[in-house]
Order: sequence, then structure tokens, then C-alpha cells
Amino acid sequence: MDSPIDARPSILMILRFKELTVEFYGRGLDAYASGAQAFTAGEHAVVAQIRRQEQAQIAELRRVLGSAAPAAADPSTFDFTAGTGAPFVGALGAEGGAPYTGALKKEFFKLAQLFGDFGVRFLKALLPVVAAHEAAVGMHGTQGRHAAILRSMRSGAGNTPLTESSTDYTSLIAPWVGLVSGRIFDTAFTGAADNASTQAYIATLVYGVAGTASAPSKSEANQVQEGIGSLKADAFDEPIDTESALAFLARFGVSPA
Amino acid sequence: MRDVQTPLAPDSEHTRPGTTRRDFLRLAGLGGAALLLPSVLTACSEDLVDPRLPANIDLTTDAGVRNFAYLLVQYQWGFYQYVTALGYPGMRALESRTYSEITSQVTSQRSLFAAILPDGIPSAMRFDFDKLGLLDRSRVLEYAAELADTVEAAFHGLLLRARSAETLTLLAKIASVQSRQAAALRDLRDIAAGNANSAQRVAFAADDVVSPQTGSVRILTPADALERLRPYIITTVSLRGA
Repeated sequence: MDSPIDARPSILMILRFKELTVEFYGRGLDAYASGAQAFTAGEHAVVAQIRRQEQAQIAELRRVLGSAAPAAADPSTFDFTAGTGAPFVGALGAEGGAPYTGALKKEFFKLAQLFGDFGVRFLKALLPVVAAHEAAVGMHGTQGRHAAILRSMRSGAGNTPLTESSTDYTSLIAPWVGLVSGRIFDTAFTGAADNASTQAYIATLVYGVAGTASAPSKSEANQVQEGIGSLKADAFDEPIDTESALAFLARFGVSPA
Repeated sequence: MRDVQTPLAPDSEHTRPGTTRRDFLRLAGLGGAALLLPSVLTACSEDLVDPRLPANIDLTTDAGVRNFAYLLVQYQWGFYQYVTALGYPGMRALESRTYSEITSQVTSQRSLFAAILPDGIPSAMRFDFDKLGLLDRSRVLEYAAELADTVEAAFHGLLLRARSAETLTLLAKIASVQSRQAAALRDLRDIAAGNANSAQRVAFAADDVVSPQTGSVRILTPADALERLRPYIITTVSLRGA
């Protein structure tokens, strides 16, 4: 990029987001260790690998920020209910205080998917500012890999992980984000999208308003591809707009400062 | 040699007199968006494309950066035409579905570049994937993942070279999809290896592609990426400013 821009505020935002997700994956792994989260060995391996790499990203972001790096965020300030008080609580097993149920793992991976896809769009939106930092550019790719595998974890029928006998990705949760049957995200994100206390509402902050073809989202506005033939939405990941990004992060207790 | 050729854009057909790409596809009974069977291409491609057309790419400009991205996408498109046309014994349903999805995505990406780069590199680059020896399941899965890793790394390398926010954003939209494809293909390899429910299911972002120190995907320069692909590219490619 030609013009020098102070990348530190954007790098700080990435750092804060990574602190949030490292805490989330850590709580999931802790719940597994205590018997409250029934990951398979494969799921555990995936989550642990993602967390390790995000921890490395945090260290690298702190190195880039140098003396401008802030103190680590207080995990108790994170709100994994996304401000709703309930819907995602079950995602964290012991955090929710409830014993394991079949729904628990599904909830965990639903939220993990949102973090994965949000991260792709969020880092992409910040690339014009942080592009001078090779590691930050590379984190964008890693985020894409994490989002894909987290979606794959949800893809099997009944949220069973994909195996050798799997015949297809369950519609809407293939490794990439596209429109299926006019929707961007699946109906497992419960509640009405226009009700701020529902999972569906939180999902709209990542995937766009309503997430339907009839109500095109900001995230799928296709500023570049628009008007060029019938290009598939899943061939292009869209950057998220600042307003939606900050709204999403705020729901989880993350602020720019 | 089976010569895989990416179809020509309407504004850049290089054909013998009286034979257009549309004519060829109609005669072959394939239609504009259908798969081009390698065997068909063997018979006809020599007549359709001037093999002397080079791809000269100036990487000191945004146009050149976009053109290199277009080269990468054309290569991928050609590869998936080859794989889906040939197939292999024992192809699982999920593998077929994944190849189909990726082909569809790459087709869209290729169409975008064809539309926005009317004066760019040839839109009918030619490849020879026979050299890859894609005779069985494991070899196809292995190269598909290797190619995805290479293209992802190359796209992220291009992000470092983009001079305008517009080019950067355009390429970034595709770069993360390449990352998703790479993870999905690597996971297919894990699944095929029996690692679906094992602690070994980490290929999607293993240390050979994601640095354990920085948590970032490894990045390739255009020259290094081209070096990996060049053995299978028939079209002459030259880079400036690599």
C-alpha cells in the first residue's frame, strides 16, 4: 500500500478479538477435560490446534505493537451469552452450569463458527490498514482455515463430524459461506433475526441483515462482483463493515480501547 | 499429452477461421459451462488456441498483480476440469462434492477476472496435468491440497504487493476462500487416512502451512509460486518485478 497509515489501532482490535476467542476455545477445552463437553478426539484436536495458533497470533501481535501493547484483557469481562443472557451459555458446558446434553456441543460449534467467519471478514476489512505487516496478512489466511474446519465440524447430519462415510456437507454449513435456499446461515441459529436477544440476531451481525437473498446483507453486498454474471457468493468472502464488526464484538464484551 | 485449456473469453478468441469456441462446444455437445473432457481437448485444442501467446506479467503494477491472480485461478480451473473429467477409482461422495463445490467457486473467480481484465493475460492458458500422474485417490487428494496451499500462499503474497485498497480488497475476497478450500481438502486427506475421530486431525492447519511462531499462513512470492506450477503450464509465462 502506498500511504503510510498507523496500523496500531487495527492491530489492537485484532488482538482483542483473538483474546476473546482464545478464552472461548480454552473454556471449551476445559469443559472437555472436566467431562462437561463431549468432544470427539478429532474435535478436541481441531479446537486445540486452533487455540494454539491463536495464542501464537496474540504473541505476534503483541510483538508488533511493542511498547504500545496493552495489558491482557480480563477474561471475566467477556460475555459468551452475547448479551442475550442465555442462548450461548450452554456452549461452554461448566460455564453454563448445566450437565452435558446433546445440544451442548452443537452450541459450542455454532458460536465457534460465528467467531471463525466473523474473523475472516473482520481481518479482511482491516487488511488495507495492516497490509504492511506480513504476519497480520498471514493471519487472514489462518482465519480462513479455522473458519472452514469449524464449519466442517458442524457439517455432518445431526452435527456429527464429517467422516469417511459422509456423503455431503449439510446445506448451509459447508466450509465456505454461500447462499443456500436463499439463506446465508442455517436455522439452527434460533429465534427471530429481528429480536436482539436471539442467536439469529447475533448471526446477522456476521452474515448480514436477515441473511436472505431478498434482504441482501451488508456483508454480502458484493461491491466488486456486483453486475458481473451469476457469480457464486461462496466464491468470495466479504469484508464486514465497521458498524457491524463493533456491534458484534461489543455483544461479547470487547471494545476497541 | 492431454492438454487442458481454459475456455476462451468471448472477447479474446484465438481460433482457426470459421471455428469459434461456441461452435466447438456445440459440436462436442458440451455447452458453454460444461466440463471439457481431456480426451476431447486432446483432439481439438491444438486448433483452438495459439500456443505462442505468452503471459507477460508486470508485478510492479496492480494490473500485473491481478493478472498473476488470474493465472492462479486459471490453473486451478484447469486442474479441476481435469480431475472431475478423469475421476479416480473409489472416489467418495464427499470428495466428489468438494471438488464440485471448489470447481464452481473457481469458475466464478475466473469469470470475475475475465470480466475485469479484458486486456490482461491470455484467458485461455494451457496446461498439461498428465505429468502429475493423478492415477489414484491418494495422489489426487495430495496434489489438490498441495495446489490449494500454493495458491493460498501466493494470493497472500499478492496482498503484500497490492498498491491500491481496491486491488487488495478484491484479492482478499478470494484469498480467504482459497484458505477455506485448502483446509477442506487437507481435512479430506485426514478423513481418508482414518483420522476423523483421532487426535491427528490437524492437517487443516498443520505446522507446514501455518507458522507455530506467528500463527500465520506461510506466504509465497509470485516467482516461488510460479516455480511450483511451471512444470504443468504450457503457455509461456514471464514475470517482471518478481
